[in-house]
Amino acid sequence: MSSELEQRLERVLRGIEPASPTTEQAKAAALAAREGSGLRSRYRLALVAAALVGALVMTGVTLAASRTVREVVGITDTPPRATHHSRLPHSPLPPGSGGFAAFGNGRLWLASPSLAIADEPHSAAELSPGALNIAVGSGHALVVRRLSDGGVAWSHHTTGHVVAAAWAPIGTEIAYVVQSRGTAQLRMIEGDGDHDRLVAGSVSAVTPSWRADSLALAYVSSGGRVLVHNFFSQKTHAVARRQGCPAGRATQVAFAPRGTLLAASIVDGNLLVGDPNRRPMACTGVSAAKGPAPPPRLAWISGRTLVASLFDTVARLEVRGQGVASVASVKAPSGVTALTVSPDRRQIALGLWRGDRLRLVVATMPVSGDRDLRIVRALRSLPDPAAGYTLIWR
Amino acid sequence: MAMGVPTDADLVRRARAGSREAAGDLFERHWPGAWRAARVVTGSRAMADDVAQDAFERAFAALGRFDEQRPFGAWLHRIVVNRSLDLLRRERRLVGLDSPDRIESEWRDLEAEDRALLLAVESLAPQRRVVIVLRYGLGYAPAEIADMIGVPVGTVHSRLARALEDLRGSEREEADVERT
Repeated sequence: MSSELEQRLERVLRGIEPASPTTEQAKAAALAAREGSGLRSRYRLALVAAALVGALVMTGVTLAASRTVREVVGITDTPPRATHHSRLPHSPLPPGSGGFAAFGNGRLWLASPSLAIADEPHSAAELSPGALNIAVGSGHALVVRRLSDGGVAWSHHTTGHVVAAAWAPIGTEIAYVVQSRGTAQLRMIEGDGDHDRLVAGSVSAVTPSWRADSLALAYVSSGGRVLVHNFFSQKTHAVARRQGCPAGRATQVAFAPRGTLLAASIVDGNLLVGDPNRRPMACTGVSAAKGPAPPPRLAWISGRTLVASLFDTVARLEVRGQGVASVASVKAPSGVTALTVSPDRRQIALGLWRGDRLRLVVATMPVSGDRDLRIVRALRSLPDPAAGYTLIWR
Repeated sequence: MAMGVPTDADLVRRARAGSREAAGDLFERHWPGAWRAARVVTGSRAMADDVAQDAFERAFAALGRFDEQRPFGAWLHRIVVNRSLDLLRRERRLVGLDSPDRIESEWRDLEAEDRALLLAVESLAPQRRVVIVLRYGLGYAPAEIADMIGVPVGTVHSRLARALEDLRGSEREEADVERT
């Protein structure tokens, strides 16, 4: 027979209820996980069936081409249409957004109005301008899928794993880094999967960045130097740093969305910023703190302003003349490990380190006078916050 | 003819066959309990949000491998408990549990006596919180709990007895404080 304490425990504990917004978010995530799992398993089934069909072709079944075979038996390269639910973020994408992706530790999450991907294994991911397609590294291939229906637009065999990819702003080319036997190459391929060629033979596994006019590409050499390859002149030059700037490897490079300014992250919370064709790049610290620190995260807002984060500091910086000035600096509730800017350049998305999770949030752009980061929306949390997530928002 | 309420096994079968509605019903049926278990074991709303959501994502992603003959709820709650304890082990060093002030504010609508009881549950050792919430928050029998968390049924009984004793001790202390 239950004691009075046990009866009270039953009554009180069973009265504990979750908040309803949490419930909606969790339901969307759970349903997405179920559909994602089903989609993957159906896709695997299709691959097995395709392999069987391929074997039939090899043994002399007289059908002209494998494409015809697949059509005859009802198998296409296109995986089943994905869910209409956006899994990341769970709530609808902000107006004007075509897609939002988080990639880290070989796992991809994607939300778009028509295609959703949750926790899919890939070696790299990149959204096209306008979020029409997504390029992913899958095994020894660079694969481009349409966001409209999830179908595979094309797949290009590579010599190793694709570890980074960057779509040119004009959308006609993809630069990608492929890693094989301990070395990484920078290559380029047309947006339709043709004309693959080598750009540089020994680079770092850092995502390259296209200049706004798509005529130059910044990347990091295997030694950590920032290099810029000009496709018009077909020349490559190393970016010079001003005297007094710290040495050390670059871990991120990014051209501004307009103009010719380039920024790069280097050690101890420093950034290199400037026009690489004109003069040596200036360096600036993201926070006032001195001492050992990791490279900051950076994302451009406009042709002359950028946002950067270091630990829990998020700063808005502006290029003025030959220098860089901090125009706003705010504190996030915890360490920032991923950062990007919204397509309309009015908000930022961040990954905040909390416990063993990375919490994705959207915040307003820091403005002068702000002290704390203004979070306007929580997206969801992801595992393994130390994975070095990349956020892509188109 | 009135339709009966579908069992968990029915819903699991339909969800596996691709029914979004059945998966949604399964979620609605089990989310409150899963969240409640995570909330009590982790001692934090935010962690409960993460753990319960993560448990559902894992469970639904693995639905194809789930043995329909087994109870879905017990399987899910086992995931919740394991994930909660894992998270607690790691997170405890970094952030600790919700502060008493925050808990007070979360449960400010409860009677003082009930709030004190929840605070006392929060202060139990994690393994004791587990058996308390599974027994009284979710209504599992000790044998089911033993099966769920992989310990002998005698261990469940002894953990429950010690947890209840701790809670009674807390209530006595509360009463003493009020008298002084």
